[in-house]
Amino acid sequence: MRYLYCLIIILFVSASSQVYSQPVPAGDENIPYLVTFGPGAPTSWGDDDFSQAFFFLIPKDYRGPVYIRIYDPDVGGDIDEINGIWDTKTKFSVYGGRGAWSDPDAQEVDPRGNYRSGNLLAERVFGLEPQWDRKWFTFGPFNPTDGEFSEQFDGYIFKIIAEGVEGDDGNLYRYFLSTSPSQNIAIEGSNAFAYEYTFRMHDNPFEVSHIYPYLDDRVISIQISLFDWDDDGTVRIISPEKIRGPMKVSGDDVWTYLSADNQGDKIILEPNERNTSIDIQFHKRKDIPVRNNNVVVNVRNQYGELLPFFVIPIGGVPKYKYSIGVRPKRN
Amino acid sequence: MKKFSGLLFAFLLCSVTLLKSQEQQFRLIGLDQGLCHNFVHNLFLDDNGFLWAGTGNGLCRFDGLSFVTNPTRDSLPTDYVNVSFRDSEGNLWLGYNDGTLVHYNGRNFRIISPADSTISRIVGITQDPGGKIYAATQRAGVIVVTSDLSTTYYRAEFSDLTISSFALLSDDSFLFGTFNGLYSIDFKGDVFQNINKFETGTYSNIQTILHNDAEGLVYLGTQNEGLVVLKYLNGKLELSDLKLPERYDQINIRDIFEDRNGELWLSTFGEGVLQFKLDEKLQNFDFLLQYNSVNILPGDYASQVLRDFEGNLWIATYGEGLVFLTEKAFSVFSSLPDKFGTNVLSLHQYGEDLYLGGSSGILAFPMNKLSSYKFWGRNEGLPEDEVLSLATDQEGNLYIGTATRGIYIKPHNSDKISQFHVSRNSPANVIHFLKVDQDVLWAATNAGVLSFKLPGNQPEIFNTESGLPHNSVRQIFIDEDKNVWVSTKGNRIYSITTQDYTQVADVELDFSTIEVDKKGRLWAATMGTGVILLKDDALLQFGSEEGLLNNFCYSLTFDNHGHAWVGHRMGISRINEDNFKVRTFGNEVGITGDCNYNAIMSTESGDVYFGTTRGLVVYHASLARELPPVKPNITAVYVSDQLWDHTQPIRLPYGAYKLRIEFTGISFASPEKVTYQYKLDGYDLDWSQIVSENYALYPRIDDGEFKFLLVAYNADGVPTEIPLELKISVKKPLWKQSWFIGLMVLVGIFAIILIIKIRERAHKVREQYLEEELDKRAKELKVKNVELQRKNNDITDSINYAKRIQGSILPPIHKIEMQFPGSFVFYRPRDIVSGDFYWFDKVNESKFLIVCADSTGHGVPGAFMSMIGTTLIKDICMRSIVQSPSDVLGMLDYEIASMLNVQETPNGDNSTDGMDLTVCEIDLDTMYLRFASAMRPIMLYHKGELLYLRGSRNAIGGQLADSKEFDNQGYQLEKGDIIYMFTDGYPDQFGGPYGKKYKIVRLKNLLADICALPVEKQELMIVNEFNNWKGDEDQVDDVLFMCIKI
Repeated sequence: MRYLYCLIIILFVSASSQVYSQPVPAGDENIPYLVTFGPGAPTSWGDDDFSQAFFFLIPKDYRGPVYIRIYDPDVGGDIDEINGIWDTKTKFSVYGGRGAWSDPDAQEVDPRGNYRSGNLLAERVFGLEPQWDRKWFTFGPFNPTDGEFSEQFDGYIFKIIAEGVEGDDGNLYRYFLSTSPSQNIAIEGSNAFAYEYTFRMHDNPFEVSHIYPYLDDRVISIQISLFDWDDDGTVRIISPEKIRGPMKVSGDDVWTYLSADNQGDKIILEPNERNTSIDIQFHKRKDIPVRNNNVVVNVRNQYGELLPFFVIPIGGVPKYKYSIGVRPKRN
Repeated sequence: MKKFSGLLFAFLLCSVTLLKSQEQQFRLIGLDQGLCHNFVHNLFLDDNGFLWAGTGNGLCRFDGLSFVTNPTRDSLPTDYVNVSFRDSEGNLWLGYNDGTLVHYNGRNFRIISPADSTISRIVGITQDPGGKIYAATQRAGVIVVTSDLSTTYYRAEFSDLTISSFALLSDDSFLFGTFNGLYSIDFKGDVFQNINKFETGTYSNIQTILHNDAEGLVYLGTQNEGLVVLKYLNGKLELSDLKLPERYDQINIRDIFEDRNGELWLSTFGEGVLQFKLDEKLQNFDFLLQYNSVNILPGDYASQVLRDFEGNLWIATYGEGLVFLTEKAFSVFSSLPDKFGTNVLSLHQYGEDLYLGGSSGILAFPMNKLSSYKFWGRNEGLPEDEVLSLATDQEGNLYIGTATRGIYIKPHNSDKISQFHVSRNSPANVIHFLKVDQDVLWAATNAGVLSFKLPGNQPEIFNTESGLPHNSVRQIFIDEDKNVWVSTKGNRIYSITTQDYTQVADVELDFSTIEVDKKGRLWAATMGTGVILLKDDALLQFGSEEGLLNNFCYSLTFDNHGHAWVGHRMGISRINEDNFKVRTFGNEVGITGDCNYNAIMSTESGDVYFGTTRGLVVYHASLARELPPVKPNITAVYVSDQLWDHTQPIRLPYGAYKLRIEFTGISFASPEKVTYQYKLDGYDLDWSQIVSENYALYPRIDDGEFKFLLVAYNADGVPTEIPLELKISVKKPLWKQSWFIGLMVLVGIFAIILIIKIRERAHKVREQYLEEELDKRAKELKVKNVELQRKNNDITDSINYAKRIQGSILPPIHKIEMQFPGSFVFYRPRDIVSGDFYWFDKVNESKFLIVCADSTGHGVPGAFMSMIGTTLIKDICMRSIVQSPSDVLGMLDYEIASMLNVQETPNGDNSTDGMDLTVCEIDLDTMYLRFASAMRPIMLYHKGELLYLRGSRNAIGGQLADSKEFDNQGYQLEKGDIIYMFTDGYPDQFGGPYGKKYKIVRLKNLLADICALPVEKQELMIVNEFNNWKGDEDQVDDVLFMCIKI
């Protein structure tokens, strides 16, 4: 069964290679920025652990140089979120080699244990550096084989960890996995994923953000956790089989769990919802606009295992397959 | 070297503005050239000369010609080599990205796998003065390896450090560059202690550390903040004020390499390779050059710089493979101005200006400044024609020789070109060469040589009518004595001024150039015959067999460094004027065109210029360097087509093997010019020819001790000083091994001794047995002998008695002596009794019968037969019916047959016994002799003549015949006649000097000799003759000889 799972993953990853990655957040996600706060910030500002790990997946056949680019890596300017004065430093570290992804601590949501596993390939601490405001900073080049090879994903994986090391401001940034040090040129067939997303919601109440966890064949039920949602609207879960929600979520500075169909905090999946990605949609409330809302989200299966969010949804963005019933006309 | 590099770079940069050189000084090496991956993390050279590249796809090895991926049977990690280090003994240490440490001693790899707790990339390797190796890992501490390759892991002390770089600071102190600053840590008493963070003023990752012990400087290469320099003096480390120029403040330095000249090569991500040099006061860095994507690098990411043993520079790039830079002395300018084209037909130097003649005009530019040029073409008055030759007179007027339109002139300080001379004879308008000597302009044409007394334009013509060997003249040479020599077709080198010539061949040659070197020796380049040198009244020829590129030579000149340069199609040959070694240059230095006739020129500095169909080729003498000897290596050994480990002496069991040895001589500058010479000592008697093939094949080697010797020659023909050796031994068969031979000799000796002993013992046993048997037999024999003796005595007694009986039945001799006095009977039985017998008696008053008989057999059987015969004869003779001797015989035959049952029986059991006999009847009254004989003759001495009378051919008894006839023969005897009767015992006796039969002939002769003698004497002689003949031989038969004298 494990091999079947790997095969399916590979097939889906290969199938998705028609799509060019990898802005993170991706266009399909409609998430404006990732966010990481300095360790002095209150968690009520939307970051539970002041750390965010993302993984970049490079197809094993790709042999060119790899660059990991960060948009607006500094802490300052009109994108980032100030808390008093700009006194925050964020450290971006790129890891590769054995253990970078496969270490169990690397696949957890909290920065504990050996979460910095693998070889540290590059690191840079950014503070208030206006020269990087609204600019792209580039790590690399990296040899694709500098990453950790994963048979499961049939490619090399790099890990980038953004950590707040000083201060209490919020650093909003984006990533791009590129073939060029100076331009955003996607690597064909690459992808990116994370086990926990800490991101900034749009201020515009009509924007809908998405994340796409992948549900393998072992998943029977999922538990979707949200941190510091701030009553910023509803959440819907779209799969090819079913539409769930809108689910009303509440909570400030606390973890809450999405509940659908009055089944508690577990969402039971239909059999046809396995081996596919689901679309978790975040609809902002429109009555009272909520601004600068930062959210943390993760998804676990019935075993408590975290499910990865792929920025390029495996199998494509899930679409609900409408079932149209036809009844014969009676005379 | 540094100056050279700077000049070279400057030259390259400048030349692209006007004459874009082909920039053969560098070469890109990537996947297409066999490199296993374009991400090159690390470069290193081993003691054998191989270049190793640690790439993103593993380790690969380069020998100058080709790459081999993972060229070892050892199972090396699949990850890449992150760092390498050569220890004080020349061993290589490789630190892998996955934490594996590998030791390589030039032959074998030894892998030191990381413990599970220490899996982290190795970021630095160094060695302390005591010989210990230290390998620092990024996040798993330090591995210490002792000389016996035992390892100790130190992790706890480094748990808070993420190490990026590592270097030895002093005997027991190390520097650790981390993502969080610089640390110094002591290693004392096998313990890491005194961890001190040093304030460097940088927060950036320290990616590389270089400690220059001599200058007391420590260089830190950072990820984002450029180069940080520390001073380390008197055990104290402090920050230096030394900094790179401001624009390099934030460069990402991956590696720092300091060459022998103290120049720093910084490999950077983003800026390519930067070269700096500290000024003499150690206060400032002088920028020297930068290699990046603007000039020679394919990108701006360089991971390492390395200089090999030939002085070539290697740049490892990140993602773009390798860049190889060699300080080659050749520049090729193929991108000349479009209006000029690329075909440089003629060259001429005037002052500091270089003139190029081309297909459409003339190009001129200052030789020391290539930033501007002048062009003269059709607009300036030149015809649409090729410019084959150029020359200037003392006033600076430029004379232009065209291909079909004669000579043109460009006056000095004027750009207007006008016709100088044109002939009505079109061959005279083909101006191959122009030469000005003082005020005389010489022109080599297809119609001979034209000589102009300047400024006049009416030539004096030298052609075949005036002694030239041929009218087509390629070139003119004027020696110190002002003799004008011409290069033309013919078998001689000819001077038109003296009409002197030197014959150099019996056949016609095609001379293209004649020149004289500084030693006054005349050199001639020919088309098809190579180069000819007149040396001490002798000729030396250089052709392709001597190493010349080929035998067709288009141009020839000399530099002032002792070389003759020869232009060919697609290349150049260089001949050393002293040792005559030849070196060739072609595509490998960028020459892709054909040298044009006499488009060649050398400068006072020794530079040589060649005009080719694909641009201008320049040899910069100042950039030339002597190549070091190449490093020979054996790369593979195949024993009977099986790959064999050659890192150890090859020992093979006994057999016959096909041996193929592949080798390479490592030269990165001119790998294709490496040649080899080899010898299999113990197999080959002499060294091989110098060959370019990089393998040796021996189809069959048998047992023995061999030593393969290999010498490699570099492009300059310089051999390796000490031949490379590979010992190969094929074990002798068992029977050829000395111990076995010795053992076999001993075994043989032992076996012989054993056999002798066994035989002796057996012999003794047998002897004893025989002795016992002999004694036994002797006893038996003695008994039997006694018995036999007794029986013999009995038999002898019996036979003796029988003899007496036989003698009693024989008639007494005196009876016949009474009748015929003087008769005798020689009767000698072979045994005691005889088969021969005689009988005689008077049968009536007047008849006397004499019978001489020889019975079948002798001894006792014969005696029996004689008894029977005697009895029967006596009986028959007394019968009245018997009237003649033949009747006696007939009757006797009958009686014998009857008595002995001579008749055929069904089973053949019949008697064949009988007798031969002679019966003589003498009428006593008339002395008439009648005789009849069965198988026996008689001899009759009658009337003084000895007659031999044959008898019947029928024997008495024996075979049964229907009719046996016995004839009577008669003779009238006279007084004195003698009748000789005898049996076959006498003539059949063996003896004489040769052991032969006596035979009847001798008997006849004997009797013929003695028949006239008295009978007594005859008897004596007959007996003596028999005895003498018999000698010591045994008597073979009974002897009866009767002599009756009438």
